Amino acid sequence: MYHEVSQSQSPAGRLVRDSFDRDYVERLKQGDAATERHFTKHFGDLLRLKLRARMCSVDLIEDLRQETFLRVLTALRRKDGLKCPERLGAFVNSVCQNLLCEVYRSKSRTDYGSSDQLEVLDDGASPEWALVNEERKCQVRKVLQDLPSKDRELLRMVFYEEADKDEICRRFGVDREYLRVLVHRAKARFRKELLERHGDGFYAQA
Amino acid sequence: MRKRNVSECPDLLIGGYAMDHAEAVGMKAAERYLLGELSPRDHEAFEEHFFECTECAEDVRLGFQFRDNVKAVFSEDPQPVWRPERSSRRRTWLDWMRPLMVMPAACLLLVGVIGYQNLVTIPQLRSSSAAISQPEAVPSAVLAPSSRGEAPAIFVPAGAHTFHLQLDLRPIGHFEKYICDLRSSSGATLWKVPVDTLDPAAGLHLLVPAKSFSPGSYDAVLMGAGNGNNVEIDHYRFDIRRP
Repeated sequence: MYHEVSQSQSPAGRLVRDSFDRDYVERLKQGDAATERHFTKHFGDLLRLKLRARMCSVDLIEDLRQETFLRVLTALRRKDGLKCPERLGAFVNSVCQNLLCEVYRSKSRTDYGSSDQLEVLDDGASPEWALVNEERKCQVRKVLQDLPSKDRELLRMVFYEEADKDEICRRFGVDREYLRVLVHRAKARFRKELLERHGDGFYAQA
Repeated sequence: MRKRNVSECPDLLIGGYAMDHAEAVGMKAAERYLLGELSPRDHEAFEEHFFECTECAEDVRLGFQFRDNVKAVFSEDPQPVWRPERSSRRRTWLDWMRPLMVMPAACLLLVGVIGYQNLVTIPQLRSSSAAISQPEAVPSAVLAPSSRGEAPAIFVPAGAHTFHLQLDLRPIGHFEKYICDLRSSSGATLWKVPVDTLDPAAGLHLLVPAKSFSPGSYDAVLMGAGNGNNVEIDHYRFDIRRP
């Protein structure tokens, strides 16, 4: 990879962890354009996932991402900087987490209600997500077609209808672990389809 | 998962717990994250983990991608593809108690019981009650204890249900209770009759089912029981004869 991110290996030999080193952080501090591009792309995606899981709106996600980048870079350029450069990922996450807390407190003060009432993300609103496209839908259709009809309906209830999971489990006579395993296996099939189509580089397109 | 020591990384602005990769994989944290099943503590720990772990970050990204495309596919065809059916329910050993199974079985059982009562039990009861509902002469014999002479014979007609034995008693010692065995000539016990009290003046009267005795020689053995032992008191021999 072009950036100085070292990749440690797990005992099984699989790539597990990005470990950002002092040189990478130093280049970020000095405003190296390529390193900044990598930084914003790499952590921009992770921040989107994190904030989507918190049901934030598209606008709020963009605001929080930009504010997180700003605060991280400002912190890095301070005199004392980052004491543990290998923990850059955890640091970015903690900055974003604090920002979220500020938003929740702000919403609460302005009587917007609880954090659960944050504006819900409209998945189709922004082309920037680009997680859905015709090709991927086709691959997902293939995965769904290979599933037993019961499992297909379970996925429909969980992801499309977003029904209460306990109620789904009761109706279908399965437990929560069955749902997890079903999602895990379907996802593995989806990954296989993507790999067969694009090879190892498909993640870069996500 | 371990509680993170703040001093181990002062850059982190939040406290909390640290999750390692093995833990994340073991608990299917990526699936739980996607399904919204992680506790707040695990949620934060897993987020911190996948910000540093390429594999878990890819797993989370793939999960969101899969979910979004599943939604898109079903939004184009929202019809349910499968309805849970009764037969899909996991069977248990209690299933036989369901009304569908129990009612026919109960009806069959009821028919069986009623049929048996009408065909067997009630006729038997009528027969036996008829036997005792009116006076009837029964074959009878008076037996003396340990008689050395010829044993008294009892002529039992073919239709007789019972015969009567009267055992004369000699003065006997006191026992907690008494037993009278009816034995065949070979010594096999055919009947064992418990007797609570004995009145030597009145003797011991036994009404015996006739069908249990084919023609032959028999022995009535009177025993006293106490302290776990049976003591033979007297023997009474008799013969059964059929016309």
